[in-house]
Amino acid sequence: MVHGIELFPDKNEAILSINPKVFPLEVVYAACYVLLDRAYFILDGDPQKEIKILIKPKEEALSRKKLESLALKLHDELINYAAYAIQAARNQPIREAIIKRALATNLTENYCPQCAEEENIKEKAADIKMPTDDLFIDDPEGIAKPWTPEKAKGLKKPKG
Amino acid sequence: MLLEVKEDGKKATLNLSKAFYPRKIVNKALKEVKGAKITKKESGRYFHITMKTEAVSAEKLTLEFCNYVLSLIKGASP
Repeated sequence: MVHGIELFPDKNEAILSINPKVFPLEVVYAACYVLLDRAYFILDGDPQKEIKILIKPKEEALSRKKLESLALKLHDELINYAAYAIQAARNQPIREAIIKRALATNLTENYCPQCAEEENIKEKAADIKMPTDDLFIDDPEGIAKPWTPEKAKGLKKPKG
Repeated sequence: MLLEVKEDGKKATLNLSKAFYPRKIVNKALKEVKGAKITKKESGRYFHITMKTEAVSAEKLTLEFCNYVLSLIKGASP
């Protein structure tokens, strides 16, 4: 007889007793979920001290050996999901860092910072509306002329 | 006794521990059951759900309901 497994072949059911400190409730739910197509499960007991899982196979009149095999299969799934839960807890900081990094950056393969800046300037320039009114102003003294070096010939440079 | 069957299999009472089966999910699952007369009572630690049906085996219906609740719990958990 395996410790923690009680078999009742006359009722076609088995009871698996587990320690909730070894297999938390989430692991129990996950393990039972996997075998829902093969048996019915009813949970009872004390979630702090001992969890009892009543296993009723869907197949009628299972032998003692098959009943035990089903209970052991459930136990295997408990170990499987317990190991998964431990690994998931260990990897959680790494997964969070990877996801944060992926969400924080929005870069494409052909990204060019200078091009992006030029595009940005062009967009802003397009938004600026130039005045359409005539900019011609009166210049009676003739001083509104562009200066060129040729016009400086013969002129004295100011001191200082 | 977690499952009691009476009246030649036409009536079954399921005792679900409140420690393992959340009230919200049990109520949600009960709404999905069709074709049976359902009675739900509560004591300190258990939900007592009685299903009475003429068409199918009440025991099988009750057990399927129990599995359905488990699948909802698993689906609700992260």
